[in-house]
Amino acid sequence: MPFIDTTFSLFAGGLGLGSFSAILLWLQLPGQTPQISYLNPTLAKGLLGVTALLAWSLWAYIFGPIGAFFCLGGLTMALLCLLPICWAILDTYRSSLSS
Amino acid sequence: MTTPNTPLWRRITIGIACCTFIIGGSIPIATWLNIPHHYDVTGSSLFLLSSCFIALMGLTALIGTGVGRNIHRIARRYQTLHGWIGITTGSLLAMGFLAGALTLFAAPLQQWSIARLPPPSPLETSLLPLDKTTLDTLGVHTPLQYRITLTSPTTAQLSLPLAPELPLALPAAQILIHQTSPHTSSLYYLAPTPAPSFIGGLHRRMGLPLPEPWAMPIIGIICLFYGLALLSGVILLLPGMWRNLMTVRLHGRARRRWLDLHSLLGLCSMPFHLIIALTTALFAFFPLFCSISDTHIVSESKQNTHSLISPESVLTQLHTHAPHFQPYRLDYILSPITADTLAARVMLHAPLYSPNPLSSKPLQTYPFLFVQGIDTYNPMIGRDRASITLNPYTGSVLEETNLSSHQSLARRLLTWCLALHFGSFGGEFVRWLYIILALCGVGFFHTANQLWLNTHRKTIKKKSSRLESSMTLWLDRITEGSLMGCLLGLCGVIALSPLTTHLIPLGNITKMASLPSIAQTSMMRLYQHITLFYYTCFALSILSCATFPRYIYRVLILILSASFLTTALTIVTLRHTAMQNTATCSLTLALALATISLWASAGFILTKRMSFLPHLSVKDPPTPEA
Repeated sequence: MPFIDTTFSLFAGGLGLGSFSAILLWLQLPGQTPQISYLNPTLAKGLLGVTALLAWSLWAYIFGPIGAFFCLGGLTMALLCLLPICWAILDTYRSSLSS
Repeated sequence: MTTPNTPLWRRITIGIACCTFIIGGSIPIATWLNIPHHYDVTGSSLFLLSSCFIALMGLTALIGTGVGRNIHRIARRYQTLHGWIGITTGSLLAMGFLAGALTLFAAPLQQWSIARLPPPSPLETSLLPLDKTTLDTLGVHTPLQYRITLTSPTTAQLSLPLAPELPLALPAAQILIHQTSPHTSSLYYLAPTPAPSFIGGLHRRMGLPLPEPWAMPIIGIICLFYGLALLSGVILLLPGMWRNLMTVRLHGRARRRWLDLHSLLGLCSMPFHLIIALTTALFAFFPLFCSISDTHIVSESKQNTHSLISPESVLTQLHTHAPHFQPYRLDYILSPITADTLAARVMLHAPLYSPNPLSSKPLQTYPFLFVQGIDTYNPMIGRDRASITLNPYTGSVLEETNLSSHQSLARRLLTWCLALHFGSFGGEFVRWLYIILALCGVGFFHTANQLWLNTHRKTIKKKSSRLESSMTLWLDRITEGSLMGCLLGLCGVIALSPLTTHLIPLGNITKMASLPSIAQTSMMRLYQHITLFYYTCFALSILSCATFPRYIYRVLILILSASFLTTALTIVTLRHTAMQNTATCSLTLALALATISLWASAGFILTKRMSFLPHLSVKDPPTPEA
């Protein structure tokens, strides 16, 4: 589709893949995280590596290789800060509904 | 030097002495090693940055040495220190981070506040130098500087700044020249708001009401302790808390909630906080150890009879020279700016924007064309601060130290360190990412304060059945009052920004000759008024925190802050300047989100209070936590 800017597509692709890899990382970390029974831990780790690498390679085209690394790091940090809080709020809301 | 039984206070004293020695000695050692000669300011800065890192690691190691390998004993030693550093510096750091989130929008805020500008002229009509009729109207024979601000690849705004504009200093008033044809132009006087400069200063001083040269050594020390608290925090997490890292228990004991949030925010954004601590220590200590004195400046400029190179040619040339560099401003500086010396920049805490060696001469003693721009592919030394200096007549490159794609390895390393502080890479995306991280930082310091207060409240309660000691009571009021005061003040300053910008047609100004001095005095006065307004809000907030019941206080501050932002958004939307370009759209969106959050928070507190009231028992008064 020629009307979609290449840079925007690469950025959006990197953002999606980067967010997905951050979510996979969150699921691997200890503590109160969603327990997905059908997600094999080895598969999840492999998927985490692949998506992070793909996101980096897409962003390296726009932000440069080092810039892409720091952008991905920043996105992961921000999501790791926010996801557990959102999950805790959701969990509290669900438990208040059930009780 | 220290034995396992050395008390904590003695370890800290020895640690501080070692840090002073390492950091203070770094510049003489760098001079002895001839680093400034080979690498200029870049080498000295990198050397000082490394010294700050060594000092920080050394200080942390010194506190924990001599307790063997038992992780619990090591953690216990750091625990008290971590808490005390948190409560003494947490509020200042929270204010610094809150103001820092706004400084990410410093340049857009400047544009956002200006009433609708005259339409830009096509780039090819921006002919330089200006014709005699226009210059006669201005009462100027030989202008010192022309500025071309690009509004699109083909249009630009031509202006004459009335004073030199140094990095991190107050903005300069300018005469806008709207060229309808090469010989017809309408003139406007534009005085930009000093609000972004004030917010930047507040961020650099972490809210301290002190002159910057006095505040900076304190900030440097705070940053070293902040780094120590971060490293000791990781050590505290090692024994067992790691297992609950991603757990946030919102229900149950308040202490556990604050601890969960504090550990989560701290550990997940640790690299960001470490880089902020180290680079801020560099900014704070660099002017202290880099002593430069101004000497009498002799102008070496000569009037050149050649015509100035056209902006179009410059842009074409730069596109070939650095394809990722996107210029947004071209400054033709035709006479050396005598005020722009390295000593002046050191005073403004912006020496690293200077490419020249450590000399007290003006940075450029000959006419030059200074092109500023952005580069999303490479890091920049400051937000939107990639630059190149050209010959204004031939277009040949004079220096390109701050042009990211043409930097030496040492300069690129320093640029990356600073870019990670300013978020000056990755364009608009990193701006938003840094806002989230800065707000998480505010939350991190606030949870640290609440955790400390909660822990100490409980201890007192067990001992003497009181809820609060006078210490926890006053610390609670100061920590919350200062953070909410900072929020209120910043929202107020944003509301003032459109009101403190002036755009006047030049026909309405009679005293043209005295315009530069009037503009500078007026800018200084506005800056003082904004400062007074901010600190009044801040003082009133602390006073109200100590006077009113807590929920009334919170609702009051949130409603006032939301009202300020709503006013600012309304004024700017009515002037049709809220959506003039991508950066101002971003700022409008950010402020709209902030306004909605503030109104929602106020509503949430009120709703919660209303639902709580029927259950309130007279025998059981609410605790401060409630």
